Amino acid sequence: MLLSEKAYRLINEHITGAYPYEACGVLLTSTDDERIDCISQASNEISAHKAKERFFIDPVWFYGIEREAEISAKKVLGFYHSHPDKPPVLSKKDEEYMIPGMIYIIASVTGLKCKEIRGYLKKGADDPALEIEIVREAALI
Amino acid sequence: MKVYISATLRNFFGRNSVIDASGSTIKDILGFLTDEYPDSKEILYDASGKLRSFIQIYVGSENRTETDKWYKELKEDDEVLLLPAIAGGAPNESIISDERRKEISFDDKEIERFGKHLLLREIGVKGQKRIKAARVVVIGAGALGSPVIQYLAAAGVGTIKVVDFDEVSLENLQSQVIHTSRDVKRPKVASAKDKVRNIDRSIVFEDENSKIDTENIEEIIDGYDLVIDCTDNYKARYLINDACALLGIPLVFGAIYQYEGQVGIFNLNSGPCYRCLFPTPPEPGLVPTCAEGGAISPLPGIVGSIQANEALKLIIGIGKHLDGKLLTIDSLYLNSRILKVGKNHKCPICGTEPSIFKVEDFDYEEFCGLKEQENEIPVEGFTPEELAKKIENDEPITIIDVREPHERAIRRFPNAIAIPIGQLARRKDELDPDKDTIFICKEGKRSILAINTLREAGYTGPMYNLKGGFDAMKDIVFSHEGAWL
Repeated sequence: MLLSEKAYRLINEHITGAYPYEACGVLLTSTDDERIDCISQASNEISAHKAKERFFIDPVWFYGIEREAEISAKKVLGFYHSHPDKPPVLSKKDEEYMIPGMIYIIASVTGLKCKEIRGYLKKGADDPALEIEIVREAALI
Repeated sequence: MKVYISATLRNFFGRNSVIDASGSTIKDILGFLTDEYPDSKEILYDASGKLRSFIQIYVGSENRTETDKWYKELKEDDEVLLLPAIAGGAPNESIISDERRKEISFDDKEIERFGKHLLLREIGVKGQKRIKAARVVVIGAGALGSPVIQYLAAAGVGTIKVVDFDEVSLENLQSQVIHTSRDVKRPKVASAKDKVRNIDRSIVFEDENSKIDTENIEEIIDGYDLVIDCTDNYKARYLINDACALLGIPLVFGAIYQYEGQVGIFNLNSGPCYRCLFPTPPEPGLVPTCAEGGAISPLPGIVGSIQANEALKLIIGIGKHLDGKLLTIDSLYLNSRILKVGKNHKCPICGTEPSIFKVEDFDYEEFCGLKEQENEIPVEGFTPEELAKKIENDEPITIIDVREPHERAIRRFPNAIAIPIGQLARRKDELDPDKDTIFICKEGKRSILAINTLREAGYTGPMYNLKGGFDAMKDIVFSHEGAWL
C-alpha cells in the first residue's frame, strides 16, 4: 500500500503533536490506484486518563467525514493511530475492533519522532490480522 | 425505514449505501438485513451471536447499540445508521512498572552478558532492565522447573524464588536436567540453587524447601510479579491458581503427560483463571501424573522453555502471549493448537459473584477427591513389609496387578495376576471371594480406584490396597528375590 509523502507528513505532525497521548484519524484516497493521499485527523474521544493507551473515534463524526468524502469523490481506505512509546504492533483491542477489508496503520511515536509505521489488514471478521507493507512514496524516488 | 450503511461495511450489504428495510424496531431491522444480505450476519455478529465490537447502531445522533435499546419503537422518519466503532489500544503493558525499570542500572559485564537481548529492538536496554527488576516464583524444580529456572537465570531475571519439597532421585535425571547424578538425595532446591549460581552469581536466589499448602502459599508468592506453575498435580494447580487470583498475580501454567504438553497464562488483567478452563479436576486416579504415566525426556524442555519465553514476554511487555489461551503440543505427531479460554463469569474465584475469598476456607483435598468420603467405605491396605511377610508365610492371598502391560514389562510383580483396571469389572469372576485379594499399581492410587470399581460391580470378597504401590515395594521385592518366591 502506497502512502503519499503529504499524508505521511500529516500523520507525523498529528501523532507527534498529540504525544504522549494516542492520536487517530482516517486514511483516504482520491485516486483510482488507491494510494493513501489524504487523511482526516480525528479527535481521540477516550477519557483523558486512558488516552495514553486507548483511542476511540466518534462514529457520528466519522459519518460526517464519510459523507464529505463521497461528495468530493474520495474513498475511506482505513484508519491510523499511534502507540506512544510502544512498538507499532496490534494490541488485543486493536485486533478486536478491526473491520475486515479496512487498512490499519499503527505508528510508533517516541518523544518528538515517529519511529516506525506498520500496516495491518483483516480479510474476514474471524481471520487473523495480516501485516501489509506500507511504502512511503519518498522511498520509491 | 431508511438504513444508512457506512462505506466501511458496505461490502457485506451488496455495496448499498442506503437500504429500505422493513421493521419498526432495531431488532426487526437487523433481522431484515441478515435475511436479505446473508453475508452481513458474519460482519454483524460473532460466533456466539453477540454484536461485534466494531459495530455501532445510531438513530440520528442517538447511540442505540446496546441490545436493550433494540426494542424501542422507531418513528417513520427516523434514519438508522450502521456505523463502525473505530477504537483500539496500546499493546501489552509490561508487568514491571517504568518506575522499577528506571531504578535498574547495568555494569559493563552485564552489557556484555546480555548483548544478544540488547540487540533485539523489542527488548533493548529498557526490556533488559525490566527483566533484571523482575521477581519470579517457580513452583516445582522438577521436569518443567528445570528449563524454566535455567532460562530465567540465563536471561537475567533479578530475583528467582524456587519452591519444592522433594529430593532428587535417580529416576528424576531422565528429564529434570537441572539436577545431576551427584545431586541424588539432595533437596531439589539446593541443586537448583547451585545451577543458578553457576549461571550468574548476581541473581538473588530464594529457596523454599517446603510443600505448598493453604497455610503458606500466599506468604510464598505475595509481593512477586509472576508465578510459574511447574507442578505435576491438580491439588497444587488449583491452590496456586486460587492464590494468584486472590493476590492478583499472573500465572504461567504448564503441564506435561507422556508426549503432550500444555501452556497457558491465567489471572492476567482480569482475564480467565485456571478454574475458568477446568472448573473441576478429573476423578482421582483417572489421569495419572507425569510421574505415574511417564513423559518423553525432551518434552518438559519444550514446554518449560515456552513457559520461560511467555514469562519473559510478560516481563518485557512485548509480543502476543497465551493470555486467555491454551497452547497444546503433541510431540509425538508434532501437532500444536491454540485453544481460546473464555472467562467463566460463574467462576468461584474470579467470576462476578465469587465464593472463595481465602484459600484457607477451601478444602483442596476434598475438591480433588483425595479425601475419603464419609459415605464411602474406606479402603484397607497393607504396607510393603506386611505384604512381604504374608508372601513369606505363604498365606492364601491373591495379588492383582492393575498396571498396564507396558508398565508390567518394566518390572514384573512375582505371582501376580495381571488385570488392567478397564477389564476388572468383567473379569471379577477370576477372583476368589474367600481369599484376601491385594491390588497393586505403581503408586498405590489406581489400586484404590480398582477396589472401588469392583465394589461398584458387586464383588464382595475382602480387598486390600498395597500402600505406596510397587514403587514402595520394589526394594523389598528385589532384595528378597529368590528368598520368598
